[in-house]
Amino acid sequence: MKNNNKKTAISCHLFSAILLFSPWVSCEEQNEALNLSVEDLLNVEVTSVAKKAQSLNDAPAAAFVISNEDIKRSGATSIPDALRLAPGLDVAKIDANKWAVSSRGFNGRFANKLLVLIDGRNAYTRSFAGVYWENQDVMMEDIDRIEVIRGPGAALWGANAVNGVINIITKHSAETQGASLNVGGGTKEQDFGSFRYGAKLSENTTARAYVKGFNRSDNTHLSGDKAGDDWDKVQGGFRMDAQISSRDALTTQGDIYQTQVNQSSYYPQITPLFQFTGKDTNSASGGNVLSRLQHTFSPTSDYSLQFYYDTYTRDEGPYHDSRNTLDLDFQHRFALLDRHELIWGLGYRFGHDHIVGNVFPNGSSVFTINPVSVNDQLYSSFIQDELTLIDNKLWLTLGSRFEHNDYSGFEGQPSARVMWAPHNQHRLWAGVSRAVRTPSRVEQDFNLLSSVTPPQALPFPPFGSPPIAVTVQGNPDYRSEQVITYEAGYRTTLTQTMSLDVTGFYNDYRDLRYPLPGTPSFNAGSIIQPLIFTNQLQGKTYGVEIATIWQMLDWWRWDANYSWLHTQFDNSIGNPQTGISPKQRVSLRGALSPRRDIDLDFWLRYVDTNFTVGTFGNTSVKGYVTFDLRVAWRPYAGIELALVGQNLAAQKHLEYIQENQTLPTAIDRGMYGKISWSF
Amino acid sequence: MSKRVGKYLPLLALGLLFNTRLPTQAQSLEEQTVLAALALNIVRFTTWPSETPMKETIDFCVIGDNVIQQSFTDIDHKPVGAKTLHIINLSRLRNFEDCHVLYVSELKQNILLQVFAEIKKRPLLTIGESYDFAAQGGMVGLENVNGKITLHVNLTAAHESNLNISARLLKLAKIIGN
Repeated sequence: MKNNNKKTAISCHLFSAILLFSPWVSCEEQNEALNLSVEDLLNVEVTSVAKKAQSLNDAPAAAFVISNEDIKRSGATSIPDALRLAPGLDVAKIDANKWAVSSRGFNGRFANKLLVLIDGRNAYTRSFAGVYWENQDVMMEDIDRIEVIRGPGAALWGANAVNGVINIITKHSAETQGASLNVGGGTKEQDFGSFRYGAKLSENTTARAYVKGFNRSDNTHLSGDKAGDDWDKVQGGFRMDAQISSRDALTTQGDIYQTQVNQSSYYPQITPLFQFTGKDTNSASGGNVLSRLQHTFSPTSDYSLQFYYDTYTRDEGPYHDSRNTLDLDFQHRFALLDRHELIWGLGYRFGHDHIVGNVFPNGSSVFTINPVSVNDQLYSSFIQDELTLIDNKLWLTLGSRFEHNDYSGFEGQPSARVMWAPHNQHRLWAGVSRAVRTPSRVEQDFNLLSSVTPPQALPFPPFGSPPIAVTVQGNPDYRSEQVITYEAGYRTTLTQTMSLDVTGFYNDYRDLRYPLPGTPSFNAGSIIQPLIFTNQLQGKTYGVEIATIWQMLDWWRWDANYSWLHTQFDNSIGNPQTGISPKQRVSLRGALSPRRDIDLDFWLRYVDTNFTVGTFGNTSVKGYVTFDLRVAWRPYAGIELALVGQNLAAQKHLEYIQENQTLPTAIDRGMYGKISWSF
Repeated sequence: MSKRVGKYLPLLALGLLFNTRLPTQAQSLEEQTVLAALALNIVRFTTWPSETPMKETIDFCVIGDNVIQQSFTDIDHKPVGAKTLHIINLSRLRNFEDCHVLYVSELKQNILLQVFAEIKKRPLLTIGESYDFAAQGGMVGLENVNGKITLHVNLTAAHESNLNISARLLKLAKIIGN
């Protein structure tokens, strides 16, 4: 009898595998449940392990969700490291405290085509057009999910969502009641701890507060020396959710942090020795407060009004950057006629910055900016209509964002997407969108000494060439970069235990940043060669991203993804001076729970050659393979002991070379232990 | 000895591939399948007020993703007394008047409350997937407690809508309200 069952199961799985595109093949247990009485149904053990492998995202976009459980089981201790779980994202660790994170190429320390939001607050800074990843943190245990949307998200989310949007969403405070204490330590994750306490403040109000901190130790230079990139951080925050009435909910939250970041840097200077290295100690601090009111009129109509204030101050060796941002956002969703679901919104953002170049103790400086302080404003509006063409089968989504910013003026960013669900098991979608990446402050206003070529002795002494200083200069006429993206995707649950998500895209970029050599000048015995930012570069990228989940056994799940990217620039104007992200990336994760109280995880990653450009020249950073392992044991309810090994394949490996300043740093193998106690 | 083990390794691997359940958990069933079967039974134990417009079918509306929709295809067209069950997948949160049963897999809290407000006192049996669903105004909440489904019934909500849930079912349920 048992044998028979197994046979049925096998033939059922084979059958489904063969008939990929056929309607759902109903396997074994479906009718079993229908034959049971209510009493039996209430007594039977239920499992929902395969749920993740079966559910299909309904968004007509390349969307991927990283869950709280995924983060925990990956052993990732920071947001950027957790982002390695998603397909299509290029995450490279520059050193212990810096990351280069991008979607679909164009990676860099300030990768400028990826928008990042934490609970609705924009983490992308106007100063450099990018994200200071080391400033962005949350209590990892309280993350609900990270939504990663590859491709333009500008119609809904606004400018700079050119190649993707990352939404980091923390849990509602009602879901984080009680205490959670996490402490641990190891080789790279030297010591860390976090404590959160959640409570019910009144009948309709819940809240939580947390504090966390860590010391992370340094990595290794390629030469084998200590890289001196150790850093520490303390952060605290709170969230309060109040149900004011049956229709109104109010969320208020905030964070505050302080970090000390060490790095060994390299700078050029015009006087001998024409370069110097320094051990910089940078400090950064910041905070934010956000409040959001949501009013629900009916199941198909609600609005939200959100306000936030964000501030940060950062002292780097070469410069000081501080910024205050005030943002107001209104969104209204409602149903119209029988087939339309509309969302529209208005936004206003005010920014005030203070950026100045620092003078090093040896008297040289590499960074100047004029003016040092600017106020800027952003007005935006958007509208999107999701139109049901055929009930439960076919949808068309049209939308656009219109905004005006002080750097590039008016921008329109439309998008059209279609989604077809021929069957419960299949989703097909396609879209075309336009998005822009608006200019940063430095791109318009700064001047950076990028490199100095020391004087060369000529064959007929005593004559020699003077030192040549290359300076990168901002350009007040620098405009937005733009892209038109064509995307298509297919999602399916191949069987009851396996799902597949495939996306293809083609991006056509115009007006990309290109440093154009200007007229050289002679100054104090040196030749100054300016490189002026222009919008002269064109390029295109295309690629494929595949993500699959296979629940092989009730207690063993596989998550695999593969990304292929091709980047091509118009070389007719010269060397494009732009980094090229790895062509291929693979992530393979196995999550095993052989017993209820034991988790075993392994995570294998392959990253292809990374082409970086910068003051160290153009470098091909070799591809690498590495893996992480995690074992966790829960001896008592609420207590978990975990041991995590990271980057185990080699003693050290190089992932990325920053455009300037940071000396190439290889990431060391690491190991840490962690105790979590919920009570 | 090790050679013999080696010989059987491929077989063992194959066995692992296809045996989708640990022997110790052989009695377990997939949660959504059980929820769908329970929902069918709950409908069978419910009596609608006589004035309810109801022809040959009991219209069972489902709000949920593809997994939920899939699990309910198995109970589509099943007989309920003299009538048959008819599954309708709601892609929009409207036209509740077309439903006799509303099954909500997951909805944001604020929206769920407005759904309850909208259908209040209508002869519409509401079934959801948590204790909170029943506590906040739904009629039946199916909660997974340590791997088994617990049935919560909000009798007040059912009575307000003039729905009668059989005592045989109530015996197996935890009652919320009077």
